[in-house]
Amino acid sequence: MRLERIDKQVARAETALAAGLMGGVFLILLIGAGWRSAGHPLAWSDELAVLLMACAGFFGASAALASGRHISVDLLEARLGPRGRARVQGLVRLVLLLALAGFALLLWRWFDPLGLLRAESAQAFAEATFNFVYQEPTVTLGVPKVWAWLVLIPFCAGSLLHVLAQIARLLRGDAPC
Amino acid sequence: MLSLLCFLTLLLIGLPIAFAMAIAAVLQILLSGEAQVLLISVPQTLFGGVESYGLLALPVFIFLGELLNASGAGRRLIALAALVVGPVRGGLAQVNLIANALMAAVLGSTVAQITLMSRLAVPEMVRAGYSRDMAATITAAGGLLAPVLPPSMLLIVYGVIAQLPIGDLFLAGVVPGLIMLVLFMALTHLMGRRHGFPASARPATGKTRILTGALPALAVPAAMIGAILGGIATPTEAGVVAALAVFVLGRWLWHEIGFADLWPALKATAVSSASILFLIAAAGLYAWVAAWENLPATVAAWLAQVSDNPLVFLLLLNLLLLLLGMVTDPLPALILTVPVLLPVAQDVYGIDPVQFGLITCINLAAGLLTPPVGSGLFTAALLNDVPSGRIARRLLPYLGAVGLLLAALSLWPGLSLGLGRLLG
Amino acid sequence: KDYRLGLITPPPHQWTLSAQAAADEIAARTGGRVHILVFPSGQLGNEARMLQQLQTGAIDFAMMTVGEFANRDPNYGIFQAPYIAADYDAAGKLLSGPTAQQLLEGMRAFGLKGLAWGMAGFRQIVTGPQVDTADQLRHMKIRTVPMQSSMAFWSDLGAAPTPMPLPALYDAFANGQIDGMQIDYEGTWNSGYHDHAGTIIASNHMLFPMAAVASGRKWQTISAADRAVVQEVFADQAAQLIASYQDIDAGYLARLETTGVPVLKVDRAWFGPAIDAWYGEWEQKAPLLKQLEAEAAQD
Ligand code: NA
Ligand code: NA
Repeated sequence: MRLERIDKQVARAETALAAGLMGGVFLILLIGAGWRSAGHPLAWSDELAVLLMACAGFFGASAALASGRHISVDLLEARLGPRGRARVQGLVRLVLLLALAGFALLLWRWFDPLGLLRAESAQAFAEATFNFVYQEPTVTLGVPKVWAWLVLIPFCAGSLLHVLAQIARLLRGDAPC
Repeated sequence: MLSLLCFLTLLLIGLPIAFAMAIAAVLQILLSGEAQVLLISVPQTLFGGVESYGLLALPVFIFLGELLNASGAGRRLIALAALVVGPVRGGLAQVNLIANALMAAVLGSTVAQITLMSRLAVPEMVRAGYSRDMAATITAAGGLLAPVLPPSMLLIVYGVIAQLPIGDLFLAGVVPGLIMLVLFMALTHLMGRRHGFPASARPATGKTRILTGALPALAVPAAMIGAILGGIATPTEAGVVAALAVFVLGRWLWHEIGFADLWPALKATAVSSASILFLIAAAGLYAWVAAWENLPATVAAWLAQVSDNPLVFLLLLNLLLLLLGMVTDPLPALILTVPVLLPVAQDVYGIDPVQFGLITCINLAAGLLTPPVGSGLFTAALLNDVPSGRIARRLLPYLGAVGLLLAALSLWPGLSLGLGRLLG
Repeated sequence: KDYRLGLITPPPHQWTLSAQAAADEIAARTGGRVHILVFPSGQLGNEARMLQQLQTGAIDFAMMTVGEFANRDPNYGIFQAPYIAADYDAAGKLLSGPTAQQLLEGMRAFGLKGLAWGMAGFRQIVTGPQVDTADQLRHMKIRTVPMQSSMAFWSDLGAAPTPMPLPALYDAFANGQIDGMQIDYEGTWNSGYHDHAGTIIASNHMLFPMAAVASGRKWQTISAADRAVVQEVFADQAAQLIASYQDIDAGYLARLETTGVPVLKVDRAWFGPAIDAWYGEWEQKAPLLKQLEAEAAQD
């Protein structure tokens, strides 16, 4: 099935991205330590490492949803028969679906792409709406913070996709992940 | 109250804890009367929860653990420790605890240490005939040494909030950490007799071979401590240096690992740390809403009314922290409670802030091993493939020992403050 | 109605005490209409997070260091000009003068209502190795806050400015990952940095300003009469705060002098030509600096 295949591929891509970003974090920490002991501390290394870790965390969190690696309590599931278990698993995905849809709505309101398009400039948009999402600077990197915050969009979209695929599997009578 | 009920219900039906916590936080926001302005801050707060330099230690030490395991360095170190302990009943369990204490001198986080030791010690113990439950339990308990013996991420964060010299706090952790080790070893000895722990076997290969095989592995902690004390690296950076050292040894000396093994190790690191990072993000969201609602100050005001006896206060404090530690992670709990409870402790009851810090950090760290929310417990369960409920039950005597330690620390301030005074 | 004031300092710190005093006075003078809850120790988040919440209106007031503002507009870095104020009196005048006022008004661009400027103790220098001349600071790794104007001071001296999170500082200094730091007496004593210090350089070389601000979004919803009270009380408290640091700095210096670590008293001339280089560079980067210098020269 197509949804199934896309779900798997997206999860694989998310894992690879998270792993690559974590590798980047370790490299930056090494480079930062090296340059500092050579007497040329890099002002930007810590902030970059932290932001990459956060991004890796969100990509990985979506991938972990696909593979069921998030930490959860299995008290109830363990005590139910196969039918009851499928129902509870379906309920869990339904709650997740609603929560993620709500989160998508919050992201839409926060990034407010239509409002930004209508405004003359990002600063005018901020002063008119008190929404400073595009004005927030990074401390040492010289780029707006929004480039890091954008990771929440693929996180939310990926998570929605994984939950939908799991619901589809449950409806067919298969295990969710 | 309603949001707590919502959280517990969602938890019970099996929703991932991080999502249950985030949903409960949003419910609390919807009930706050200022939902409009608070909701718009939710995505930022979630992201901000993991935007912390201290958290970098988490993936670093998970990765170090992956490499220590894959390169064969861990196996060699454990063999060395076993050689030292000798063939006694429950020997490998004691080796595990001693190795945990040694690791605690390098690591500052319970979860990171349980991750490392689950890879290092549990497979060895299972091979030697221990039940998987028992091996995971002893490893989880040993992880509690990490935030007590210096260095300690919890004590660092506490020192920052309380504006205390971090060196004093570290020094204060040494004696309680050693007491905890002795209590755990004695307890393990008793359990070994009751459950019939296997005696550690006489090594199959010669002592010299074990020694020559393991000595280069000692270069790993040596490289780490050297990098820190030599002024080259912070403890987190030293973790990366140690990972590099492990890779070099495993690739060119032992020939057990190659460049192709790095990618799977990175992927495992990314997914393991991501689920913990996301949990911390959600906990941060909940802590923020609770702080905004001024919940901690309400609790503090109530506490101050109950009694003017410092011991009663410490007893209530321990109970409160125990409850809090059960349902949250230590870092958000620390950020939430210390700013309000420390002034009460100091001004109303005249308790030393260093003693207060040790009690608070050890109590909250123990919460890492209790259900329903315990990152340490879940890490041990996940990595060792044992239901968390079973580990939690077996951990009870160890948590009881921690309770004894907390009582002693509350009754005798000298246990935490003595070493500092001795050294001036 | 309950309002929320956030700040990163712990409960015993003078900033927190001043915030509480302001809150109490405002509550009394507005008949409880403006009731401010004080959230110390960064309970509501670090300064970047607090600024974001002021912008959305999730919190109403804050007392913040100047870092977040300077990061958005270099003009907010000018109070970091070396030796711009000779003493607490001069600092108080500058921080309530016309340039300071202009900067408070400019905070509208960040979605804030600027209320008043205060400060913490003067910046000093604590080094691991023993130091007698400014030349010995060359190539030293000195921890500073990651602010352009502050870091430039150290680059101009030939040192390597090294931003580092505060929790990592004690160990980094003890183990020699950094050779020194720019800090006040209060922080030096409370964190015990003197344990590993070769010299405490009593330089008084830099101010450490603090801004009391309100959320622009929430400010509009307070009545004009109450707004006037809030503004007056914060200005009062800020002025008292600045004056109080004379005694606070002197008290902590006296304690540090008992530790046996050599205290080296230095002035602007000790640093050599680096300070002139700093002014040359920052008069270009921050147009308001010249105006502030003119104000400082009037005394
Ligand atoms: Na430790
Ligand atoms: Na717990």
